[in-house]
Amino acid sequence: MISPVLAHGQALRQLITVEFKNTAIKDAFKELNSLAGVKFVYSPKDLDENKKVSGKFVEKSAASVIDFLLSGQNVTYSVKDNTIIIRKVTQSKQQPIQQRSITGQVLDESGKPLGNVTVKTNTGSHEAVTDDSGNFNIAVVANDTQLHFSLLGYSQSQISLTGQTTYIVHMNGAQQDLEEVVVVGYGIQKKVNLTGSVSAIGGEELSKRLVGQTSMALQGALPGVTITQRSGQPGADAGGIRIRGIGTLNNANPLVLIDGVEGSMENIDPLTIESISVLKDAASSSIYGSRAANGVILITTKRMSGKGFTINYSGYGGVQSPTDLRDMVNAQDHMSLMNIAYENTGASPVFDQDRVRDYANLHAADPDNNPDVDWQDLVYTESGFTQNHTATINAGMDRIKLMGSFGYYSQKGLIKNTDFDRYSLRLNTDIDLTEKLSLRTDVMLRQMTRDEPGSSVASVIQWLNRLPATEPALYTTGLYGHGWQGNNPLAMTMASGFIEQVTPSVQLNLGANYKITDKINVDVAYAPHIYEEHYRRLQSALPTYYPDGSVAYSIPEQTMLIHKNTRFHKGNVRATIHYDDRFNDHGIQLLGGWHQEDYSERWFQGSRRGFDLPGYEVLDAGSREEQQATGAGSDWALRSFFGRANYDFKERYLFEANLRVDGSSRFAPGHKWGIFPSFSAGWRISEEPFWEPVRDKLPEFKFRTSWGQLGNQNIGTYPFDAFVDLDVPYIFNANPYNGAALLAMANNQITWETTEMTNFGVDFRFLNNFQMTFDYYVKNTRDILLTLDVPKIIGLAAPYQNAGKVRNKGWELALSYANQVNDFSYNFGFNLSDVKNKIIDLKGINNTGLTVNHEGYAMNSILALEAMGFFTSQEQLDNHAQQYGNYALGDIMYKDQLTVDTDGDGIPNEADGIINDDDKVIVGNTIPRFTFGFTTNLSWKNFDFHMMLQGVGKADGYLYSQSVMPFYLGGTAQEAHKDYWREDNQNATFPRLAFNEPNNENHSTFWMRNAAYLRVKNIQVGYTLPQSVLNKIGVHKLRIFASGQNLFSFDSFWDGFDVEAPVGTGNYYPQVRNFSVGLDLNF
Amino acid sequence: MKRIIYISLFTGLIGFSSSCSDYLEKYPIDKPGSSTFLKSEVELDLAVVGAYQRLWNGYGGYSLPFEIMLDCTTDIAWERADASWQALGNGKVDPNNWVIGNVWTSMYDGIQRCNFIIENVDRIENITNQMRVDHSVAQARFLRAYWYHHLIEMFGGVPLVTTLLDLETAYVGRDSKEDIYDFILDELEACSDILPDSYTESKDIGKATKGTALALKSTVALYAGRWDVSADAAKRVMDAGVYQLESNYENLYIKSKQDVSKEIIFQISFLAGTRNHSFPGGVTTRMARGYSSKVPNQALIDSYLCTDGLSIDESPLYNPQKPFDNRDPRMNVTCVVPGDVFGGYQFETHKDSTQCWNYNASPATRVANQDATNPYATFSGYVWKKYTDMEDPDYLNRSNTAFLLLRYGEVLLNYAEAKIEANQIDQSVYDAINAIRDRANMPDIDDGLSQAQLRTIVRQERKIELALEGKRLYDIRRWKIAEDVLRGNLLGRIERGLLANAPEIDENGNPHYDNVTNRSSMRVIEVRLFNQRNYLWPIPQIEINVNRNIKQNPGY
Repeated sequence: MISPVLAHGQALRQLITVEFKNTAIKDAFKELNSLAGVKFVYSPKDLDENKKVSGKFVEKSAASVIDFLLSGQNVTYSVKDNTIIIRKVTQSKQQPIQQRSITGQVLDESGKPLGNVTVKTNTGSHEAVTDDSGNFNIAVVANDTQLHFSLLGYSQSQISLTGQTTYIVHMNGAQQDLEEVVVVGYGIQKKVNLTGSVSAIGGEELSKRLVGQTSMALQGALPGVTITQRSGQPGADAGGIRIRGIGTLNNANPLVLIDGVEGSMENIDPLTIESISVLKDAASSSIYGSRAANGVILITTKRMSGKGFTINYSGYGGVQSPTDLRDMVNAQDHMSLMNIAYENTGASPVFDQDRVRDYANLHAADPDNNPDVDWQDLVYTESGFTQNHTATINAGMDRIKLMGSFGYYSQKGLIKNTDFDRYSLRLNTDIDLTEKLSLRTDVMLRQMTRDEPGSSVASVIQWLNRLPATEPALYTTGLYGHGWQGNNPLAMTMASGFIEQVTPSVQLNLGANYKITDKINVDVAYAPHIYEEHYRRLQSALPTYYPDGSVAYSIPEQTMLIHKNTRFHKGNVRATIHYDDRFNDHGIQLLGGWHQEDYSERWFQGSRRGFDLPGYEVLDAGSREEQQATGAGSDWALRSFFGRANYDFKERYLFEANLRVDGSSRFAPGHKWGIFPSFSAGWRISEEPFWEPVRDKLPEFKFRTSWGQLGNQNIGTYPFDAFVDLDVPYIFNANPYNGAALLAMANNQITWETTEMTNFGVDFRFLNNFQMTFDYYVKNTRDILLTLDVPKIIGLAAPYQNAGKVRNKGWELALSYANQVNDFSYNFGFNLSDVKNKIIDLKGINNTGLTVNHEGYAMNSILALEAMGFFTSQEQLDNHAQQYGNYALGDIMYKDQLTVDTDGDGIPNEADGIINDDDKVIVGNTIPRFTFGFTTNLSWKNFDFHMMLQGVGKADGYLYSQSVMPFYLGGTAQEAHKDYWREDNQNATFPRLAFNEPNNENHSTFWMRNAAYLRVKNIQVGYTLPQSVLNKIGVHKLRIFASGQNLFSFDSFWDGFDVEAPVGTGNYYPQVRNFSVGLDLNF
Repeated sequence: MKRIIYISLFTGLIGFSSSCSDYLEKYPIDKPGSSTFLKSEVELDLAVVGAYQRLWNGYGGYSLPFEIMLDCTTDIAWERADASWQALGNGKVDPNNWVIGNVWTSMYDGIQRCNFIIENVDRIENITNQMRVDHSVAQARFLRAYWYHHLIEMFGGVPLVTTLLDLETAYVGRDSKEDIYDFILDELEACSDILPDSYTESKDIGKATKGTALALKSTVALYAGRWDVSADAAKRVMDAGVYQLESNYENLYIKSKQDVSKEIIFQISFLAGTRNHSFPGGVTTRMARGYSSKVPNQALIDSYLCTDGLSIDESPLYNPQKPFDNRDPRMNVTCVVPGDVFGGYQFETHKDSTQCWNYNASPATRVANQDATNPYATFSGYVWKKYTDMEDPDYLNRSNTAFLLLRYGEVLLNYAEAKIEANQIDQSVYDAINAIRDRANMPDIDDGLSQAQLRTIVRQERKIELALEGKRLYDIRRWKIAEDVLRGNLLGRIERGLLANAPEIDENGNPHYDNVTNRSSMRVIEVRLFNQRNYLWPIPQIEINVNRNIKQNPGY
């Protein structure tokens, strides 16, 4: 008899439905064998195999059925692979005195009871299995010193016997646990039966990374998922997520579903996450049709299963510091270098030369009139205290199971008066109304608050990066200096009022599941989500002063308050019907469903200026003069029908087909509906009979392939028509009048953007502890909705067109290895992926700018001149092509590209002798390639260690303007800029200083840097206090840990800037490194 | 039984979903669709306001219309804070310059708003006031002509678009500048036939009138060198009796006086709360909390005549030790010069004047002088005063003062120049020039001057009278003197002293400093390039990239 080899730990945990009516146990065993693939080995002497049993089990674990069958017989059993070995409970009558009984309970890491755990003494003398509530009772003899606990899918655990008679034991899910069953669209699937490409990560791994925004916990964790963090600002530090490259020039964010409902992955308490699945290929994600083109992320929150009651608390606190800050020149250097920059252009020096020479003395004698300010030091003063507290209650009763969680997260900024906090409350309840009908009522309440100074963090940072050390910040009198024309970032952080964004949210996820028969069930769900954004900005009149105490400026002149309120409503209704059956070797699963979702947004805003009474920060307290009120809103809706069919033969040949039909309000009538099919197949070669000889070594080996189509409709709400804007007023006779104007072109022909993806994959397992997954894919996106540049003489903003074609080709590799040697257990995970992005077609329209989309190149490529070093001789100046402005020795020399076709063959073969836009070529690619992550988990006795390395193998970064160019638009310079070109410093890093000369400020390869990096993203060290200590204080488990995020980076990017800095001017809130300590506690 | 209930519930949901078939029909709640717009006279009124709205552009960081910034690209002024504006003045402009891109785009936006009205006006049903509809369409034609007039002066020939374009019809080439002159002049003539002399309803006051169309026509024809056309149009404005010179030059730039002025023919209006500007904050003295970022330079100051009507290199009234005494009074209306009091502070830019008087205190006190010590005080030693009306509430950053686009004074000068160039010199030419001079309290010009002498006078007069009103760039281009005045060092005052002697003033009223003995001490603000290419600005690169039928101007 051939029975399928089940994955490690699968046998006892799989859910089966079976009914016995006066069945002999041996016949029941046969039925179980065909249903669950378990074999039974026993001696008829130990077990009454003809005993008749009756009972009915619906979706119960195989273990509980076996327990039922064996109840009342004096036997115990152990499991080896898929074989149940039944033995009589041995009672040693020879040594009755030395034997005693030990009881206890086994819990998982979240405190839920674990059934079916095998408990063994270290001598092997006795063995027992825990019941549904995790309780065990085992006999031990004198030379037993330890109990060993094992449950497939969990790490082995042991306790030392200390003389007590009761123990609480915790077991941690092993890496394989999650991989056994994976959450897929509208259901779950056995990992071994997957034919699509899905990566998953468990809640435990996520919880090791102490981040406020869930996206950052995913960085480097999964192959094919690229996360880039562009800012460290509290509440705005989420990463951008790209799955398998960028397939669209529009919104390339993946679809995120939390328990089946679209939402933001940020700001869900990471500790309430059970698992995250990323659906990467078309086969796995096409069930989400028109929203799946950028990939789908499924987040499943924790629920209670089993019985029992536990309380967990998890918390940490820590501090932050910037990963990198720029080092600006002091006042004297600023002035003398600036003067050089002026004189080099032929202009008169801007600072008095005598004063520059004497500045050190002048500053010492009178710092108010001769400031020397380190703005970075003065503004980045805070340690950014961060804390997180999550309390979870799990309660499981006969028919009601609930998981309640309350979380508080708070993060202060590096700048005063910037912070973020979040309260979240989740209550997931499952109710079995009848045998057939069960209900889910999930409630999620959340409120986030983000604060920043009234003049905004962006403007504080812009000014602090720009201000020279010569401008006064704070006088000895305590008054704020005028900084730059009244812009003083220190005063802005301290006294410019506030911006406060409060976002309360209420979400329900209500569902009912009805089992029509054992094989068919219907599920309906309704998930309304209402959230609001209360935005208040009080921009205080901020006076700044001259040294003599007189007011220099006030920006703004009058205090202004803006109060904006936006209310969002999302409706979400869906119904699915599942059919699941197996006839001998044939397995069939069918899914059909209907889903509709709508969104509406309404906002209004009021503002007043002139608040005479300080402290009254409501609109009513302001002056009625020039009060303003504005408001508007928007809606969209989506309706879908979908279905899926799975078929397998002996779980050896696997087939799946999906179809989704989506209708969207974003398109014109006649173009609203899109159809998105997919097909996939798998071949588990390891299930073939000929595999037998190597099955010991290679128990699992599978080939997968898939093809499918996906859509994208993230293109604005009403792109299909042009609308007349009513917000274009003008003044006549000192009165305002409303106007109307058409601002954008319409294109009612536009339709879905379609992504077609083909995927090939291999999964295999070597022995039991090494696993590998490899995928190769080609992802073609066509009909990309683009706003191609159109002639500006049209006078209207460009319309969307179905114009582009983009190809992403890539591969992904994931390796993991886990093992245990005595008390030392360890596992390693490594993933590496690459994607090559290429624009195939853009209707011949290549846009211009710094990051561009050109046919034949990757999206967001860098378009710039090729720098050829500096001009070092007059001869070069004379003979080289004409460049920009008044260029001279020490300026950057650019390559004069071949742009003129003189021989008429259509290929340019000569240069035109002038450096201009025609000489700009694609020089760099900003899409990260060879992204990788490496995870290490070690544990030894009560100690555990976690480390995560993460990085990018290839990417180009680019900074310009005041970030790296000295004195850009009158700004200041950095220490590094002192290494500028001059006659006696020809090997300089930077070109000649030349104020406002355009030559060196043109975009060129000179300012581009390699943005590859390796980062020690996270290290965590934990220690679990021994049970003997905890029992005295009534605690089940207590673990303390210390953790660091973003600890070190290795890169060759511009000094002073984080390597993940966005292409741009460097005015971003610095990324942070943080150190935390915390504890996990179970009662 | 239950099974039936649930199945029917499930199918019911699907049925419900398919029954509400408008579930997927969503339209904006705040914007009408374009295909049906302009169905009523109310909508026409809205569309006309929307077309005027395009007169507002945001430049120079202070919500300034480009017209007010234009002088910064000439020999009389300089912009410190924006390198793109500097590049337009110093010749280093390239086709990616954001200013030209913005100007180009916003003017064609405006033109298309006008075309929308002109093309779709026949959609209006049940017209109750045909005359008002006609006026509206004529205003759209006027505004379109206004923008084309700027486009051709900045860029040369451009695509002449008079209908709404779509993606098939938009790839057209450039029309010649002369053809567009013909078009503009014809259109303005047609508008002047339709538009009324003035409006009675408050909501119309400020819209284009017959006089507006003719005033612009005289300017455009002058630029085109069509002297008869220019003089004729100007004459019709002069004869209409609707407009007259303000008695006081300064009143033109004071908000409360602008509202009742009979000299202003067309303006860009502001109103705090809807749209205001920060021109005063951008330009005034440091002591008055301005940024002094757009400044008049030494060459403008030295271009003002002495009160005897002679230039400073000829007048006995000019004293190099007191260079600001006995000068054309318009200097003190247009600029703040050392020795003036502005905002209650003594204005002094001599670098050693580290303290100045604060007359806002009583008695006056000595305070630290930011206009001398701040390294970013005016680079030239002078600042603008025009349009910095301190009576305007919160005048620094929320000014309501209108910027003038066309005024009667300009019409008189157009008339005089056109007649002089046509060599039809008669008393009306003298009258026109003397009217301007009289109002400025400057002496009349001598009788019996030659064409060349009159040309010098009218060019000098335009420079002074219209300084900071956006006319200078087009003047120096059409007079072909840009290569003389826009090349070399842009100069500011001597930081610790005065010019030892007056510079030579040439026949176009422009100073030359070769003869000034201490000229090497003058502050070099920037070194300017000027090549022949700089007579036109480059066509924005994006337009060249997108539309292969548009050829770039030579040299870019």
